[in-house]
Amino acid sequence: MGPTIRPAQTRPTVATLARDFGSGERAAPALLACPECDLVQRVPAGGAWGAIACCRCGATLCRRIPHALDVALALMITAAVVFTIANVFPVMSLDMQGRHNEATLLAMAKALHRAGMTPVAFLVALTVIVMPALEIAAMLWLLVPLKLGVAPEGLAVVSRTLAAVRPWAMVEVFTLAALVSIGRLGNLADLHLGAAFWAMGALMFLFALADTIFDEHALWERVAALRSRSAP
Amino acid sequence: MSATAAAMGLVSCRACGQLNRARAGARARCARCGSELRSRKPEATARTTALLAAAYVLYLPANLLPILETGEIGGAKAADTILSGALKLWHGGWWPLAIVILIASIVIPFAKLVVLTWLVISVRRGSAARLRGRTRLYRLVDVIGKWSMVDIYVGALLVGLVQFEPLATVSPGPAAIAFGAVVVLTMLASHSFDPRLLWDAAGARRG
Repeated sequence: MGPTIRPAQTRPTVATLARDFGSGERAAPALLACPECDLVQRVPAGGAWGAIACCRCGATLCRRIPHALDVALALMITAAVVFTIANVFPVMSLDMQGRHNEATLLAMAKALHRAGMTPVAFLVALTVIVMPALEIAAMLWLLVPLKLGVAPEGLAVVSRTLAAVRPWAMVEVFTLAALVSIGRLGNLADLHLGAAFWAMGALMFLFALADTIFDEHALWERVAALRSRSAP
Repeated sequence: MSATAAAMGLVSCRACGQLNRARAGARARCARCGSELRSRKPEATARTTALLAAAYVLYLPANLLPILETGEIGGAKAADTILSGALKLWHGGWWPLAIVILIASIVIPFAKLVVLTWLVISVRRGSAARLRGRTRLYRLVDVIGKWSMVDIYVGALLVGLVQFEPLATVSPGPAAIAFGAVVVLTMLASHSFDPRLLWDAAGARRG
């Protein structure tokens, strides 16, 4: 007897907020294997919006969210603007006995380098500046052409890069660290929060939302739809 | 018989999720996106074990050596380890932040090392107990790992801001490199582990 294939479960998430954007139907892939336990399961065709969870281990298989790619595109355009602000303006500034000192994201990494901690400086610059920039760039690279109705160049390479980059972009961790720093410095001197502090806080929410909405299955289905339309 | 992709002669593409028909061990590419197909992450337990071993070695200097050195007027110098930095926050009345640092810098790295070690051992022993729980634990470890970077960023902000020679200066201590390395190594260890091996090992035992 062959294996029985069970249906996956639909689980509502924060992303169900996106339901208000309309009801764009999309065909879900019929069969998927769980990335964490390898169980093959049938993805229910209809049903509520939300994440589709593995029926055996609970991992997220894919997401069913109307206009997921458009919402992700809007979030990433905003993120690009906010990220620019985060890099140009200081995170915090400190006044002590008439002297003023401020730190931007890059200045922070430079200070570590000057103090002889070049590997740590690289780690900080990589996780706070380079990786978030790459994530935004890769998302825009994929989503802008799709919005215009063209398949993106180098789709496979870019989407693999995106998956590799994502765990190393640590905007949310930095935001927490900035809060902790207020505690470390608040008693010591006159501390002012800069525009980059608020920008990183906002960026944290933009990335978190995009991560719950964007789904590479949706991406590949849009591409497949485009290709089948252009084929004679 | 469990309906895993591997048991059905299928391989799920790690880049696009497409199910492909492929023989185990044979080199193949995804029909949809062209990525190389792998039924399981390569050498998962060996890689995880090696990265964990390196992280264990660096865990001690990361916690015992000073992570921040502060200099104040009159040449008074103080060195803070991760733990003493957190205790300073506590005594300064910022105890919620002290708890954040204790969890992010001490509890999470240690929990990651212990959990990943246990998962690797349970794969090697072919354990079939609490599979769902162990998969969830892996997912948790994979997600919370990056939060240990908090102390590195706090250090970077302090070093960047407190440069008032000779009134007050902050410079990074040798533990910063060791601690940064522990965070990176444990993150790489959890990325290289493959939770599907937990289910494979249990399936093999059931026969």
